[in-house]
Amino acid sequence: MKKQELTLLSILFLLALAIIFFSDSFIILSSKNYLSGILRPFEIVFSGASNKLSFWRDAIFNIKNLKEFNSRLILENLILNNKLTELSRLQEENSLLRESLSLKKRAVDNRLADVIGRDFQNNRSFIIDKGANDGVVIGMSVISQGETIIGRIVETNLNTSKVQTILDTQSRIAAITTTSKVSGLVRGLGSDVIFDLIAKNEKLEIGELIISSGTDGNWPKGLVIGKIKNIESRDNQVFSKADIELLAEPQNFNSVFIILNSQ
Amino acid sequence: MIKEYGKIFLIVGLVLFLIISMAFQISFINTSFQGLNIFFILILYLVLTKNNSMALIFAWLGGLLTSGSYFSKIGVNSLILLILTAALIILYKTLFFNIKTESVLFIGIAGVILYNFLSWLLLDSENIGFYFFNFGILTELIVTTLFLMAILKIRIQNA
Repeated sequence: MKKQELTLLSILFLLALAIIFFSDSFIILSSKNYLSGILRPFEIVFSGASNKLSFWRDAIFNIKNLKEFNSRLILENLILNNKLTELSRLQEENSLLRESLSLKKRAVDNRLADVIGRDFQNNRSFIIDKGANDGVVIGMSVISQGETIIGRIVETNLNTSKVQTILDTQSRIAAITTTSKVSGLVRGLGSDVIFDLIAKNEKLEIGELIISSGTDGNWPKGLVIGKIKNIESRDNQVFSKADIELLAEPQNFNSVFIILNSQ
Repeated sequence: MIKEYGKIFLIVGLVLFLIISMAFQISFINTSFQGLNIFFILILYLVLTKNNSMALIFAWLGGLLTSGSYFSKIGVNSLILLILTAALIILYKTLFFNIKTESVLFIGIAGVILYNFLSWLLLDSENIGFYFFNFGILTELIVTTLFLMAILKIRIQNA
């Protein structure tokens, strides 16, 4: 390396270290805010183009599947029509029972946000188009349709925010299974999640739904995480663990809901 | 006077190029084409064409600009790209003297492996499988080398 290049490398290296060291300082944070403000319109344009491209790519590659799927749906539709009559009767009965038990529906104040950027290589974090100006605060939970957990806000700028998905290795959620009521901890592994710290004497069932228990005080209670895919219990380990099949894959959506406050 | 205006236009153009490239990487490439990192390819291209100072500046700026969408602290990605660029410059100077198919292949492969290694080392030292034992790294290797070869072929043909 030439002397001039070595000097440049040293300067840039020291600058990078200084930025890491002062990453929480006002100057760095305001620069980040300013930069995200400049980038936002470009990100919205490119994200729109990417969504259109994905839509048409999926449409082209799935024509055969769609045809098969359509004929299967027609058949299923016939069966479902029969079940629908029975279901509406049950629904009526159910709502009457709910009322009689005075079950209050959970009031969740939320805000819809569009995904405008993703990280490289993986789906551990993404950027949404809502920020501090929209009332978004660090720590808020992010869900998809059907109250399925996606992640939480880890960084906010004025108009954008960064969401850490539950796949991230830093992600921890106190959870409970819906049928057997077994408690444990849902942990991100980078590309997957597991249900860990399950007491060995507890019996889990494959396919059982896992929801947040709310006992950690970080995540609202009752949000859906996924289903048990596989249970692993070894004699030399204190706890059992289980693989989880996520109900909402972080890469498969373009819009999310931010829970502003929940009761 | 005209030269000064030229310089100003060059700087403004460069800043605009970086901003648009970054938004394009975060919001278009990362969502549709996994394995393609334009900043990384640009750095490799600059190393191969011996624009070492530019490669170092782009590594630092690119790392800083893309940190908004990464799960790491701001500046860490800059550090990774700077170390990577320095290593590649030394490697290229030691082993090769000019652009050949072998040198492009070698620098492309070495770059991807080193980039994943540094990311694993500085970001997520627990999770080695996530960086090395999956199809992602294979896609990255193929896409990066093919892109580099294509760009350099066009450059050689136009020279």
